[in-house]
Amino acid sequence: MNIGNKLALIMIAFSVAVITVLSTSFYLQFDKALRERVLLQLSSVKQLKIVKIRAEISDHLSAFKEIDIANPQSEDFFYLNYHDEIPSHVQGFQLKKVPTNSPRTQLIDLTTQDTDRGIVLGFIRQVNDRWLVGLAELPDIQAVLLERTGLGETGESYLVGEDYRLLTKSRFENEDPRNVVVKSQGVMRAFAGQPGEDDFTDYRGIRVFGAYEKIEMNGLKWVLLSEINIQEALSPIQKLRSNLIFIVIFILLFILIVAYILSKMIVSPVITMEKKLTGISQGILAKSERIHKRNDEIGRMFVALDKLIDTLSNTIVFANKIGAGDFEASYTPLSAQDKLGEALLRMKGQLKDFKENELRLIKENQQSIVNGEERERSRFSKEMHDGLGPMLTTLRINIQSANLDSATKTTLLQQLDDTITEVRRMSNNLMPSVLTDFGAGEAIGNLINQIQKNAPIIFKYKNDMSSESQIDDSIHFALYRIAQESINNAIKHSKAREVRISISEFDDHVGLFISDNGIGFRPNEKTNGNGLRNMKERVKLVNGSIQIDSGSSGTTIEIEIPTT
Amino acid sequence: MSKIKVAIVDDHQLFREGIASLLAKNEELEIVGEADSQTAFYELMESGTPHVVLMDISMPDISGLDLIRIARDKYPLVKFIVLTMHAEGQYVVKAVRNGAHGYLIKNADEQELISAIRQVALGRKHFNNEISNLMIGNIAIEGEAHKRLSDRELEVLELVSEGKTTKEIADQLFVSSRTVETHRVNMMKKLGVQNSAELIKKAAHLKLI
Repeated sequence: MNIGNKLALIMIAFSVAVITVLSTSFYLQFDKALRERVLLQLSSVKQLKIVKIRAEISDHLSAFKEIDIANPQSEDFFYLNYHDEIPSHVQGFQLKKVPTNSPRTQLIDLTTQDTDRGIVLGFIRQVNDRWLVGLAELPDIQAVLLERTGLGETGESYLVGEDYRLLTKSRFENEDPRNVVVKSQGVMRAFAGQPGEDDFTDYRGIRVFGAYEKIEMNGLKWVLLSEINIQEALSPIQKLRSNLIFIVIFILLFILIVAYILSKMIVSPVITMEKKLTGISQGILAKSERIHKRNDEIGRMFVALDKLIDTLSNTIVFANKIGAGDFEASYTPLSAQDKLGEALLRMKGQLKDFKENELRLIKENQQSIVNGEERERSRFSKEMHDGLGPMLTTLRINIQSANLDSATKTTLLQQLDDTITEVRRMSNNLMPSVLTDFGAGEAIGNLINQIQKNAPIIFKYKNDMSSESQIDDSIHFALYRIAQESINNAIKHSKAREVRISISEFDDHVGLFISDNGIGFRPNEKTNGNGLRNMKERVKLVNGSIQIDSGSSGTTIEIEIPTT
Repeated sequence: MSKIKVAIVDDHQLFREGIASLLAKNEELEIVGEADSQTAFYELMESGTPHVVLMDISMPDISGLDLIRIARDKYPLVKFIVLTMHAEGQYVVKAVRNGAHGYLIKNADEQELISAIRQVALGRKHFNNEISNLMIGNIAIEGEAHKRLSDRELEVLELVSEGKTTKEIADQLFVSSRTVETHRVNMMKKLGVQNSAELIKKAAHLKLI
């Protein structure tokens, strides 16, 4: 599971938990408050009705009291008459026994005995040993009960008599109320003298909120109930619940989207980073496109990544340079722990040493080849000069002393002298003995003198070498060969009229300077001859420097060879 | 007149024999010994002092020219003639400087050889025209005794005092500009001065220019 999904899941789980807790507690609070509210309202409605019913009954009681004893007449009573004794039946109503010793008017509930009338009460009062009996219908009570203000659609108030029968018409049952027995919790509690309000199942078998109280007046025992269906009373909370569900779904959707976007925002750079790092591990060093210009940790992470790529690139550049043999390339280790950098620097050092060693070996090789060649030339030269020469001269002596005629002798001697000259010339060409015995300064002078005889060029030579020079032979050889080569070049190619050569010895170096006023050449152009290359090689082998300037007005070659 | 005692120092036996037989024909001369090395030479000298020694230059253990320089002090009466294959002025000059009385190339004629021995034995020097020319060509090298400034430095100093630029001096002396600068710096060092003006002043004071 990737970070994005995890993040989204965590966010959703968290918000679901919060929403659940919040909405549940809100729901419960609301539910409680609503119940209290409904019960309170029912209670006040009940109270109001009780007051009204009591007032109605009190009115009738007052009216019954104030009836003229001599002429009992009242519109409020549909029967009014004296009896000597309390009759058992009046107008078809059975009067139950009433306490006879009470001075107060006794009330008897007769409602259930008459199906045509509404609420009917019987009034009995003792007047001078006689009993005044009145019967009255109280339709106002029905009216009071039918008044449904504050009780909603399903609310109703009704009276229950002592025999648990419904006294007033039910709003819901078309049946004669007198046949409806009400033994709900409310009725039972009210008769038990515990008025209150609660939810319970009413006579219809429906759950209701109800407020209940007993009305007890002059022997009359009723219970008044004001009820409302729980379903209706709690309908706001049902609505709230569906609203809450809708809101929760909406919020969840919102959170889902936000979580997705957020995790995307966090995760997409992480994925980019992952790709980059994978790339780096595969050796691909592409810089990030700088899309993540942000100041948070992710932004800094990308800055760090770019830095990593930069330093890696630099390291690669450095490594390439080393690989290409550029040992001057510099590299600053990134930190004291930069192992790669250190390794590269070490590698550079080692390669440099190898290279230097190799160059030194090559140079030594070349030097030994050149020295060997010079030694060989020297040996040849000496052999011819000191070996062949004396033999020829011995031959000459022998010819001189031989018994030959003078003409033959002269011819032979002439031939022999030519031979000796030739041997000397060859020896000299190989390696002038003056070079080994007197050094390059003298040898170059001799060379120039010799060439001057046959060349149309004017040579000017200045030898400024010390006669006690302690310079190594190899340097003398090099100087001589270089001078020889450049003189040859001047003669062959320069078309110069004058060539100036000077050789000067200093404390620490020898300078050889050759200039001509010829046509010049291009020092860097490749030519078929390897004269110039040889010259450079010779200079290099004795650690010297050579500077060639050539132009239309001539060529100058300046060579310096260190002697210490 | 007694015979001229001649010794031959050469590492080639055939040559020595040739010369010996050549000289033996002459009644004025007496071959008193031969040597092919420095040691043999000393032994020879111990056994009897020759008047004239014919000395080769190229020998395995020593150069004949060096041997002459040593032997001249040791045997002041003995005279040396260089007899060599080397026909370069430098050898001639060195031979003269080391005290040789004559210088001959090995392919010299019999007459010249004998004439040279005679003259040298008489205390004269023998250098024929050819040898003299070789010597003259190289004599310039042997300048005066050590001076504080070299010839080349004096040249540069002269030109500096004339107000020439380094480039002009370099052109005139056919050396590189750097060489001129080096000479100038070396002169300043030798004369213990700091700049060119001081150099000229000091040089004038020393009457170098």
